[in-house]
Amino acid sequence: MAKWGMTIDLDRCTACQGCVTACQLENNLPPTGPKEAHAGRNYTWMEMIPFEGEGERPKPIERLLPRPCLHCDNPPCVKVCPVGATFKNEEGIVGQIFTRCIGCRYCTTACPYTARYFNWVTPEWPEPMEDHLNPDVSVRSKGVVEKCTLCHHRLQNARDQARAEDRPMRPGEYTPACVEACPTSAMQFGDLSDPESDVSKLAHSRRAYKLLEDLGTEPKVIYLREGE
Amino acid sequence: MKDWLDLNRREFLVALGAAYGAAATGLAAPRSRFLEYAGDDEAPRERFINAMCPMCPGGCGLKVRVVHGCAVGLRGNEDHPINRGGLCSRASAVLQDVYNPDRLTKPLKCVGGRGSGKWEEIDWDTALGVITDKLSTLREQGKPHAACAVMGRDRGLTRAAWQRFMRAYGSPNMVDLHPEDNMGVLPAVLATHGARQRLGYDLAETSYVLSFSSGWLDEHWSMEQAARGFAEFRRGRPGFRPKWIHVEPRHSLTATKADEWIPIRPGTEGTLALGIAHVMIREGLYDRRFVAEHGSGFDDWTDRDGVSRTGFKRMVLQDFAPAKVQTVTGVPEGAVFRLAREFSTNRPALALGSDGGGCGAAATYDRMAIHCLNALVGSIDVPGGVTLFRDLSVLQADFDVDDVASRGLLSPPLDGPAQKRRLSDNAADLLIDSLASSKPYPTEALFLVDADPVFSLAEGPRFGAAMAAVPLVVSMSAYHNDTNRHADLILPQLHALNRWDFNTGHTLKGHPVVTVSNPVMKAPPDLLSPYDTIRRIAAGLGDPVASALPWEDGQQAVDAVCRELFAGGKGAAFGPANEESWAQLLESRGWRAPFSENFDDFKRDVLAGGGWTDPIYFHREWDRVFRSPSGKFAFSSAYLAKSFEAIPEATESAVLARRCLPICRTDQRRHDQAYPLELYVYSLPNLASVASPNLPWLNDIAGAYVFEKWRTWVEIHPETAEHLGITKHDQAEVRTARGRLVLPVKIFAGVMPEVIAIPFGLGRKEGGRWCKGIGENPAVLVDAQADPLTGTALWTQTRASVRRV
Amino acid sequence: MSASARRPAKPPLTEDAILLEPILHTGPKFYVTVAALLSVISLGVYAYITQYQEGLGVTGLGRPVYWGFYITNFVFFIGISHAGTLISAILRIVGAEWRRTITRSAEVITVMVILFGVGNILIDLGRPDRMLNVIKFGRLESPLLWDVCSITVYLTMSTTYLYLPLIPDIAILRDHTNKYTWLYRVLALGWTGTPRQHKVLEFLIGIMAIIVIPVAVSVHTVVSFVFAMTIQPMWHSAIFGPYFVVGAIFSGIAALICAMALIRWVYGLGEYLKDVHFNNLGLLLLVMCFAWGYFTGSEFLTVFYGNEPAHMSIFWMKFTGPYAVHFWTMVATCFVIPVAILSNKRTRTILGTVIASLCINIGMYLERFIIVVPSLSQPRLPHAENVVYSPTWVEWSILAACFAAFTLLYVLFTKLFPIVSIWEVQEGRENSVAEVTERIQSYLPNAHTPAPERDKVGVGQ
Repeated sequence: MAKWGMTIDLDRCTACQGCVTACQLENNLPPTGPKEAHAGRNYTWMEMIPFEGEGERPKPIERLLPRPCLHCDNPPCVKVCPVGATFKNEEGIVGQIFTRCIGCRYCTTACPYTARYFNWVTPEWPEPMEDHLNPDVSVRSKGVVEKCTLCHHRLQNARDQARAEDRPMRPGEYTPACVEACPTSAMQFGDLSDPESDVSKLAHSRRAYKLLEDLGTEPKVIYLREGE
Repeated sequence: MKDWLDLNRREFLVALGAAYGAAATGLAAPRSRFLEYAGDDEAPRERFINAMCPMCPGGCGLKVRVVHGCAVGLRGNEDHPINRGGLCSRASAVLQDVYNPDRLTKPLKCVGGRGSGKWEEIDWDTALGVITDKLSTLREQGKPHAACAVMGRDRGLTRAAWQRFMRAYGSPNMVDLHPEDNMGVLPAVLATHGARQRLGYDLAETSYVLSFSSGWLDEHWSMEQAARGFAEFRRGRPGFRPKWIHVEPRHSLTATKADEWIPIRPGTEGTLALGIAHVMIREGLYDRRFVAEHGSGFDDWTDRDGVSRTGFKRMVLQDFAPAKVQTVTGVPEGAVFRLAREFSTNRPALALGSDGGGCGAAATYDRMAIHCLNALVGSIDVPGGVTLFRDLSVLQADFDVDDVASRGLLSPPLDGPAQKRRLSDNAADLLIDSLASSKPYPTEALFLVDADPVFSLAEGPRFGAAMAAVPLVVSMSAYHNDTNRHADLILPQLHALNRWDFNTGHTLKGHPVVTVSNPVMKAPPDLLSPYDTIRRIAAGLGDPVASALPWEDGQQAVDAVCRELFAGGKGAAFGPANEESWAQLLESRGWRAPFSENFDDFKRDVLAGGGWTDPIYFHREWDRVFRSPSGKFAFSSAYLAKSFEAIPEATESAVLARRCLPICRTDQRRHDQAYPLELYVYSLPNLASVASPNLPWLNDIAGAYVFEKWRTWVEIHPETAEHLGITKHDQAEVRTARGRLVLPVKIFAGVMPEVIAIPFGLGRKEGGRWCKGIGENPAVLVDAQADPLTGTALWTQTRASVRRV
Repeated sequence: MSASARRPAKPPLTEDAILLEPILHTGPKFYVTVAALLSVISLGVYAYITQYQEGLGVTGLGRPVYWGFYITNFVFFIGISHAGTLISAILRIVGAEWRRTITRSAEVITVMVILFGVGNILIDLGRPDRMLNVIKFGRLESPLLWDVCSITVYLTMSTTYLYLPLIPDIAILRDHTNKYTWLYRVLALGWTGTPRQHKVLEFLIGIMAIIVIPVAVSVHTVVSFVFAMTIQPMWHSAIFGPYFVVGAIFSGIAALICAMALIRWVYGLGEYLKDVHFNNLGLLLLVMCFAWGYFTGSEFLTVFYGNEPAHMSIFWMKFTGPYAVHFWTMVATCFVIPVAILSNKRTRTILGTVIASLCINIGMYLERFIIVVPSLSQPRLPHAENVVYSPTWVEWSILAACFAAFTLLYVLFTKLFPIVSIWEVQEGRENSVAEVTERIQSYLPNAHTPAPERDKVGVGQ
């Protein structure tokens, strides 16, 4: 059974945020305006997070870090969901069942990475914007929590395709939109359980680290730090 | 079954939620069957169509995912040499532009006087009729030059068509509003190489980069390539991680990703470059061989009259000692020494000057000074150095014009006399005076082609006022914008993804690239493409103007482009990513596209691949790279010397000779009691030079790297703020000699203490729902100075004061 | 009415007749009060309808402050609900004789207020229409499910615990009044006051009093677990269970004092709710003040001493940052002011204890607020600081409506049932004096001291 994971090389990443909008487009994230943005109600499943410098002579911005859902192996959000609307499947993807979620937002508060989003209102696409909605991804209703699904629909499509052609799925056939878009190939995606995969090798390289590692959430999105 | 058909898309997608939910838990996957019912059954369910990203001048290749006639997704074209399958943030937002609710859909006629903001929908025939009437009258009166077109960010076919149209019609007044986008460092290259081409940078092979306010990762003309170049520079060579030093008044995105940020006073980058040159020359660290073989004007020289002239070396040694540089730039003397030594010992090293779009321009002399550093380390046209783009032109072939036109073309251009812009073909900033003063002659018809000068020029409001003197103003724009208020007619635009188009561009390594773009979906009714618009205007004027645009539609024009490329006999349709083997294959086949024996095959391949490229670049082609008479790199610009000769100025020749050298600031900026701070206006990444500002996703992310969005803020250094008694949630009034703005404060250690920084990109008075009235436009504060060599406005000379309100 | 005509009411009670007054007579003030409360409630209902239609966007919530007033209300109301059952059970078990007149009013608070605790959770749901998913797909791993279970149990038990001692009084109402006799007849369960019935009743009350204590403790512990089980800074704390329980009892007693003072004033029950009750509850409150202060102190000291950055950013938010006003007001109203008032015998009057209690209730609301909100405002990863939570009119209206609805239910209860337990007072009067005298004598070394005039001893009797 594959264990899907991602590495993000912060040395290659230029913080262009191509991943951010690629995700918004792929996953039907609704457009929001200044009012929503300032109230923390915009949707960025993939978000660019600036870390301000600390210490004696701080760099004003120490680091810029693209943050999808980290798909923890030990996800704090899944534990707390009262209705099992969020779950970790056998391939390690932390998914969300939009049709079951009751909108209590316990998972959103439990996630130490603030990677979950809530539909405060019914998402709107002013005419004719809804024409660009991706038919593979459902539109969420108001009152439910949503999050990065690692473009799970792409996995389903790739799997269907492979099944139709009666062959196993090939590496690289399933890639989330952010990884596909990344202009600098800073993001790699693949099977962490396969020691030969690129992503697996990178995840075990010297530069690899996990975000808030001491929390023990065991993220499957692994960063490669800047520097030698 | 019927029920499914009756679902609208939205309901369908909501219903899909149920299916996804089920599928996600592994219960069932009936998804694909649902999809079958979800639209008209005629079109194939899913197609990927080649297109070109219209968001910035980079010209990336897109594969647009079309499902049931709607564009619903994007992928980068993996074979496209510019983006190699990548998509930057702006590319993914393109569908928000295509399906934007605020796009104009009908031609609009101003009723109730200009500036009233009242518009009436009219039909295309009436709108174009007004224009052709005016234009034919002008031609009949023998003053075709009284028509002026200001070009915005549209490129490719639109630009080519307008060039041909204006030439055939007989007006020299086609002015670029964003010369930075299209030229960048070109003026500096013209001065030093004598070549009319931009620079490429071979970052993948470079060992050290010194970038001067380059906006490399903030607002490069090709974000995609800049990002990819950076990544290759950083990690392309296992075991070797080169150093990137960034010099800028503000801690920009580029500074964040660089290894070191060196703060510098705005507009003094050239001075620092020459300070570095000083150390290199004094310590003998420069590449003597390159300078001797390929440099001119380095040492003192003697002009034709036998008078000795100062060379680059003497000037630099005399005027740019590090101690002095420190007083001008604020960069510590020690840092100047260190940078010089690092730069000259880590070869190949690169010095990057500003090469981006956005706002304002960098001073040409500064750019020349920075580029001289490349020459001093011999990083010109070598691997890991600077490359010069290989020439590429399509649909530019000359054609004969009639007498009226040729007389018109000889009229003095409206955008300033040549002595004000020796290194630039045109300067929109200089157009304002001509419009306002009706000199050298009154402008009778002004066309704004996707251009919003009132917003984007420092003197935008004055441009708007000057437009009042023009009897006919036509704006061709997809949205309302600040300039439209002053127009008589607005002609809406068909989105680039709805039409045939092409774009010419280059990879950063200098390979020419032509991208072709297919219409990805059915065009909305009642909209004309920019080409159809200009062609119908030309047709209304009859021959010979009409015959300048011989192609019936965009598709035919693209056909003509392919024909030219095929006839050129070089390069090939986009192919596999491995350029090396591709190049070898081409070489062995005698530079011919290997799979295209005839035109039809060639065209088919180009359309299927998404474009054409010539992936060959030979280094050290000195004849091509240095086109000045001496065939060398001109530390003292031979091009400028010639220009001063041809278009004389009332100054003594010794001064003029000095003006051929990169003369950068040597005086310390005097203290100003009323305006003690310097204002640094910078481009907001993703927003300042994007083709359409009305995109919520881009507004959302534009300031994300400093925790800002959807507003314009002023950055103040913590010490300065403390001194002024300003704290983080305050509003501050920024005052300059030109104007004032009240802005929210951001206390930011990433500006120099004596500098305040304001982002440019927001503050539109007109436009769609996601940009109108949001933020402020710092252009109103800018005390712009014209660059003495290009005439474009420099935004870096403004002084300001701040107080809490 | 025709029913009552068939069976004429017994002559009214002589001694405790005043306790039936509110049930028998209703003045215009009642209607004014009800009207005023109803108007506040309807504002809240309107606010909720707005929220139901528009979504939670009408609140001041956003990312990262996903929880605000509603969750604060939930914790606060559940806390208040400890007033009753827990206090009454403890007092019953230890046989504090002064409890007799106050247990009823305490138990009513529990039952009424717990509804609003639960209600606020439902109000907070993004999809209230799917709330039954909690049953359909309930996952016991989630602390919210623990809440659902323990609150359900607590509600059932408290209702029973309120109802059991009410039976004899209902029988009195059945026998002595003409109003709603059908209701009283059904609810009295055929109580006639036989010794056997008394024995069964007292056995059941005794059992319930014992069982309800761990349940009540569990409820508030589990409420704290909603926060403490996450790994968020300043939530993830082992002290939260007892801290919440102490806070709950603390705010519960304060709420009880306020309610008692109100009943005493409105229904003129000065004879039943005496200085001694306020004095004794005041002393209890003082003890809880110190207990609360101790827990708060340990909580903040451990965080401060540990000096972990993620925790410290929240710590400073409360100490000097945007929530400093809330924090220091809380310290003043939960500790400084009540301690000053309650530790001095001269100020520990009815007025004094009521002022202290009001302060404590305000302070405890703030405490709940600054537990919920600051931890969310500063997530572990950097976040834009311009997202500040400030509740909108919807949240304020719903909060006001909750208080109003609670008051209304309380008022209606007093109009249907005696708010002071008649039979327990009677029992006290008839049996306890002798019993207590005997008991106290039994404590003493072979002496026959005369019984004290007044039972001045508090809880530890």
